[in-house]
Order: sequence, then C-alpha cells, then structure tokens
Amino acid sequence: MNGNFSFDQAVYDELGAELGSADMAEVLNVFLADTADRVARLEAGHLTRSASKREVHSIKSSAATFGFMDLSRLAIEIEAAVETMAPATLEDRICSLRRAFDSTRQFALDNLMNPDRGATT
Amino acid sequence: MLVVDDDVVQRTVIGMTGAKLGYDTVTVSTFEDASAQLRTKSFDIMTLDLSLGERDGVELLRLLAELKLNAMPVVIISGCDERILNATRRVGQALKLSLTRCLTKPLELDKLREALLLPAHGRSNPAGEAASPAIDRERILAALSRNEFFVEFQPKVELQTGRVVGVEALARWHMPEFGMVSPALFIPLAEQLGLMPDLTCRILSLAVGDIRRVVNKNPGFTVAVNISGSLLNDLLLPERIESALNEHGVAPQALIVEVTESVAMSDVERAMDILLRLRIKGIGASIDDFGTGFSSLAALARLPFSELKIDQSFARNCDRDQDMIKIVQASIGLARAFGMTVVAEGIDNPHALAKLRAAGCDTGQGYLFAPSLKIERVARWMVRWHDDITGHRSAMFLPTGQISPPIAC
Repeated sequence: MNGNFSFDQAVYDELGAELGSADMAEVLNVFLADTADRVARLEAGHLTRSASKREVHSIKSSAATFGFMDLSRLAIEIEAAVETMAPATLEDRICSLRRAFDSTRQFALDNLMNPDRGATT
Repeated sequence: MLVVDDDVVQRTVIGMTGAKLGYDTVTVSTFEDASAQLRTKSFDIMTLDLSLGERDGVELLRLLAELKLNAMPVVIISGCDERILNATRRVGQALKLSLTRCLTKPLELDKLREALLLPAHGRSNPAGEAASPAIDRERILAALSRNEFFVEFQPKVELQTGRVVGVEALARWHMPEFGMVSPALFIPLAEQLGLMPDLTCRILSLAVGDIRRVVNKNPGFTVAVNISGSLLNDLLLPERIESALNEHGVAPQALIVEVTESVAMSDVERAMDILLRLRIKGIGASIDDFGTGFSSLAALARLPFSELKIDQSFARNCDRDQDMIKIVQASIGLARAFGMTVVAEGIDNPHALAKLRAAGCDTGQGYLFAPSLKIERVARWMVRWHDDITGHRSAMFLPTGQISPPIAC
C-alpha cells in the first residue's frame, strides 16, 4: 500500500524478477498505452455493453498482473454489472475508472519508470 | 511457442516468459492470425485465451482438432470463472486435445512457468490420451532417410559461477503426419527393432555438426551425447566417433559420451575396452542416471569414467528430502574419490540449486536454467543467460556461504 493508492509491490516485484528490468519497462509501457486506449474507448460511449465488458475484463486482469489493485477492483465491479447497469451509473463508474487509471499512470511514471526513485526491485 | 491472446499486456507477459524459458515465441491476437500460424508452422506448445473477441478460444480448439494437432500441448489461460474452465476441459477431452493446464487471470507467474515446462517434463495429459503414431521398423528407417530426426540441446551450467560450460544433446523426432513424437516412445522402439546403432550415429553426427560453432567459439565447451547400450558391443565405436568428430572439425575433448549405469554394468569388460579407447582419444565418458541401477562399486572404480551424472530423481527432491541430499553428497564424495566431475540433472528450483551448490556439485542442468533448445536458440539463450546471471539472477550464483534466500525464477 502506498498512501491511498493500492499497489501490491510484491506482485510487481515478482513480475520484475521474472522478466528482468528491460522487459519489465517495456511491458509496463505496453500496459499504460493499452489501458489508456481502453479507457478512452469506454469514455467515448460508442461501445455495446458486451464490448464494454470485454474492455474492463482486460483491464481487470492486466492491472492485477502489475499489482495495481484499485484499478483492477474497479474493473471487476464494472464487469460484474455492466450488462444491467443504468447508463448514468455506467458513466459514473467509467469516470471513476478514468481517475483510477490516471492515478495509476502517475504512480507508475513517478515510482516505477524512473529507476532513481525506484519502488521496484 | 504460439501465444494467442487478444490482450496485448497478457500476450506480452506470456511471450516474454516463454522466451525466458527458451521458446521462440509467436504472439497473435485473433482467431484468424492463430489459424494462419497453425496452418503453416509447427509449435511445441500453445497458450490460448478463451476470450478472443468475436471468435472465441473454443473455436480455435475445434480448429486444432481439425488440423490433427492433438499432440500439441495447449495451456488455456482465461479470466473466466471456474465453471467455464471446467467446461473447456471437457471440450478438450471430447476433441482428444492435449490441454495440459487451465490457468486463470491474473496470471500467477510460477504457475505459468510450470505450465509451460510441463510438456517438456513429459507429464501426463489430463484432457485424455493423445493418439500415438503407428511406428514400425520401416517408419523409423524412412525417418532416418528423410532426416526427420533432429537434436535439441539442454545447457549445462557451472553451479558455482553460473557459467554455461556445455550442453547435452537430446534426440527429437518430428513426424510430418503426426507432429512431435516423444523420445520415451521412439527410443525404446528403436532399441527393440535393432535400430539404435543407426539412430545413435545419426544423432551423434547431427549434434556435433550443429554445435560445432558454439564449441569452437567457447574454449572448454562440451557436448554430451547419449550412447545406446547396443553400441557398446561395437568395438569399432571409438573409430566411428572419432570419424564424426573429424568430419565436423570438433576436438575430441569437446565430446562427452554418456552411458547409463545399467548399460555400463551389463558387460563391464566390453564397456572397459570401449570407454578406455575413447578416453585415450581425449573423449570424455559420463556415467548417466547414477544411483538408479545396481552398480558394483568395484566395477565402477575400474571403468574410466570422467564424469558422474546424478539421476534427476535425487537432484529434483534434494531440497525437501534429507535422504535425497545424503545420496547426492555420497555420490559427490564417490566421484571425487575417483577424480570425476559431477553433474546434477533435473534442477528445477532455486532451493535445489542452493543445496547442490553447498554439496559441491560441479555442474547442473534442468528447467531452472533452460529446457532443451533447438540449435538456433542456443547462442541467443547463452547471451540472455549471461545477462540474467549478471543482473536479476545474480543472487543464485553468489559465492557459496553467501547464498541469499532463494529467489523466484
């Protein structure tokens, strides 16, 4: 845990030990870019409910792979109810997802992408 | 290795993990791309995400059955719930596919590694038995003439430093109409049909030819080749081996012949004759699977082995079974007394590695380091391994006595 931001360092470190630092940086960049695209597609509001479900399903797994637990939990909640959620509720949940992703990205840029400030192994 | 996953992050992580284990990885995101790959290339293993957007993974399982890829190990990876995974297992059974594991997302890396290594361990197939190919004498002879046999190499690592000091050559057979045939199937058959001398000579020649460049670039590097018991009746064997080495320009000191304990002991006089002449030529001789036979220690002392290979059943369990580590220690003591170096096979976790290093074992091989690799991957793996042991895996090879707690690998 890092303040109010829920980050599982052990999960992140395990992935880093497996992949090595260069590959870890690459895959973290892939995650940030891919998730940014997914969140943008959700925000645009053009997706069907099943397509939205697939997007949050991916965010759920990927975020947990890195230990970004806030983002993963939010994605789990949305995935579970997206097909029956009222439009306004869905919009609200996607706004929360955007905020969680922005915090995650900032955390990653500040702590994980810069070895001098490394929270990593 | 083929990775099929529509999620780029998971695809990248799985692909990188596979690459670390020595696989050449191809990653695709759609049913169509996977289908194109499967129709044009052969893969040692496939990981499959059940959710592929428009076309799902179950459709791809049906395609595997259609393409008769029943023997190819498939690891299912899914964020779906357990009921869906169970249903997928049943589909795999009905299609007679080799679904070796079903993993849930988020991925647990140790489980992923284990799943990717399972096929190489040759463990059973929980989805049901894959069809076995029909093999007779004519089919093996045809395979020899069509060059269907090839060699993979498992790296051997110096346990005190992590340096790669050699490889063991392992026979592989790809039948175009079936796929990969397990050595556990074709080697006993070839032995039974009297074809082991032909097969062994072919494998020896391929191994020496393939590894020549690596050997010549790395002084002291060795390639070990298993020699069939039936060849130990061939008094011309030393000359045949020498001729293969000359043909490929490889020094005798770079070759180690491995003979299983039971074979060596079945006719000690004959084994003595051949092994002695090989040793005089400068070729190394290794007693393989040590500890599994019923050796007479006196006979062992008479045979001029230069290396002793501790059977993997002892090395693999030595970190959690006190009796196993005692056998390992006794084997090392015996080898030392006779001036032999010691190799441990089947090292698959950092705890076992730490025990073997503390016991003074010289060299090791196993999935902790690498599975068997095709020749084109060997040099690339060596570069990556060197980077790993000077980087994030350096703790595994600290000087003995300063070993850090075992790390996840």
